[in-house]
Amino acid sequence: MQFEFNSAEPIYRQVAEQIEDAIASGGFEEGQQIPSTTEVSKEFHINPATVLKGMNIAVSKQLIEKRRGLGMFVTSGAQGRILAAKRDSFYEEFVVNLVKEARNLNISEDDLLALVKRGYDQ
Amino acid sequence: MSVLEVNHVSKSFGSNTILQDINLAFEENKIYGLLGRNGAGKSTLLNIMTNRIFPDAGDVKLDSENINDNDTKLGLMYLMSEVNLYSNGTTLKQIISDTELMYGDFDHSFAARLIDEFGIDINQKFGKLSTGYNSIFKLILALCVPVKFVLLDEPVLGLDANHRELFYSELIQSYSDNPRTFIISTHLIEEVANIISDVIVLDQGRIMLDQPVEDVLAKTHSVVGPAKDVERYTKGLNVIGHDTMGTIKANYVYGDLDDRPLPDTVQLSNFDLQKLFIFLTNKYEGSMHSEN
Amino acid sequence: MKTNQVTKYLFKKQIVLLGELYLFAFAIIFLLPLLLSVISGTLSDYSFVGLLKGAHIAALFGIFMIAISTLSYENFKFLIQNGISRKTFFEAQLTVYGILILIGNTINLFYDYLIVVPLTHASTFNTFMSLYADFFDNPFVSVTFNFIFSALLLVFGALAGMTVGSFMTLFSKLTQRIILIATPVVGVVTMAYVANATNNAHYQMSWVVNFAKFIIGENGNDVLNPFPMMGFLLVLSAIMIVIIRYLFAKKQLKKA
Repeated sequence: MQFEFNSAEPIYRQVAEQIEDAIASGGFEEGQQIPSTTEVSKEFHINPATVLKGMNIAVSKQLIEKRRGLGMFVTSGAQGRILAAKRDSFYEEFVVNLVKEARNLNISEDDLLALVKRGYDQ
Repeated sequence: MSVLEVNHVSKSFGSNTILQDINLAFEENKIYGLLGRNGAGKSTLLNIMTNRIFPDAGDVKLDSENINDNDTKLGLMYLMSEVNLYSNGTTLKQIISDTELMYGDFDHSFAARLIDEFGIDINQKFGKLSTGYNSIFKLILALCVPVKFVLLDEPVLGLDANHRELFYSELIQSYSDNPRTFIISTHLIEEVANIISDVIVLDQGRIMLDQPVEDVLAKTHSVVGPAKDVERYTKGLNVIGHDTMGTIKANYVYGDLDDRPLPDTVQLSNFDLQKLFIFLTNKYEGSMHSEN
Repeated sequence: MKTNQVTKYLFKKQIVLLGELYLFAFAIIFLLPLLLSVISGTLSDYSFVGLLKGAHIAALFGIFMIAISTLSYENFKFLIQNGISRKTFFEAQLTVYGILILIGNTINLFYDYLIVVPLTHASTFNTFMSLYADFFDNPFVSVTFNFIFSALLLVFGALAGMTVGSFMTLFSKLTQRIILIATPVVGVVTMAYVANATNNAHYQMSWVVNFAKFIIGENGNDVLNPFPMMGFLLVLSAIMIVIIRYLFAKKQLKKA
């Protein structure tokens, strides 16, 4: 797990996001055990309660699950769910901004579509 | 639930006021950061809390019992501080066994691991330790005594980067294995920023802040944009600091933003504990200067 | 209450000190002269018995008790670091001094009765014997009271040491030094003044003399009565205990 924290966002949310990213990228495979709260806390000097809070977000999104006495494991289908969710928010997060920025730069709809096509062709 | 309370504590040395009407409550199993600049009164407060010195006014209670001259309550606390209260001629081994006698128990297996990890020779005499190892040894004691409240006054003083890293990791390990309350006084905020659950800022003998870190950070807002818009937007808010770069201004707000509309030109984000600390403690000093 | 643990801690520390003192004394009193005799080639002059007779073990122990009882700050530092209250420290320290005095006093009297008396045939080997030996007819009772009386004197000395020591720890190092220098000066001046006053107007001081006589146990005949003195020591000790308890409660960590 490659954690890099910035100070502008609550740490627990960053923990949840990092777990999510690691699963999405295949860093944590489905069914695989992820580092324990204490391990993450120790490694990155984060309060265990904060780490746990981040983990719980991932649990509530059903990306990881607790196996009693063993630890946290990536649920089956987690990667698919994350990618589906990311696809759902793709329009809001990227397209809206892309169009807004293109308008600011006086790039026409056709020109923008051409640029997108160029991106795919590369 | 154990609670360590500081009630209306004041203390002066001669004409020098160190603490003014301090009120605090430390709850079970939290990690508190007691932040303050040098001379803010952190050590004095911790010394009063552990009955090493007496307050001029107010009292300290653990589970609503005054800790003054109270073995049962004092035995639930350990203060690791810069001052050395062990005699120089005693070996570390002997100090460990004496400490165990006094506290009634000692986590020998954890101590053995720490002694090994830090590479400390416990057959040597206390007075022979270098500054760094002096701190390390006292930290080992602090982590291995059976107390509910571990008070650490500038714990990493004299420790090199590797040892600091190791200490913070072991602190968390110890806290995870055996949750209890830690009160860490430090001026190195960045190192403990994510470890602490609650933050207390002490400045000029007064409490400037006493809240869970998460709540504190949620109330920090940096408002960046064209100076005019930023000024208009932050009018009436608790602006504690600012930066300017040409016509762009950043106003740092501590507190809730009301529902005022955010102009398109202005960007909002949070800022960190270190910045907040600097603004809070500078502001006060600034106003002191203007009084002079 | 952690009185037992603290008593154990203090006893272990202080009994070792006492052991070291006896060893050291043995070396100084017996071995050093022996060594010097060997070096100077006058071994024939070396008299172990002579040295035995002159060894002031009791005085040594008295000085030891006064000395360790003034040095309470070191122990206070360790105990306050370990969450021990001043009250417990006080109780444990009193207990330990009590035990040490029992040990030291026993050694003193064994030395007196088993070594000094057979060698010198002297009957006035300590304060009690030189003042009150004649009061008791039964030798067993006399020895018993010698033990009690000597112990009381040691208790008195130790408590006086504790009083001074605890009083001193209330002050900074600088103030302590000033007190250490000023006290003898003030003492000498006062003594001189009192002596002067006694000479000039001895009738005014007669109540002091009478009181002193009463305490020593003078009652007209040749034999002095030890009980007023014992009572006096007891009362003074009780008063000092109250003062020491108060002073212990005021102990604070000094600024480094």
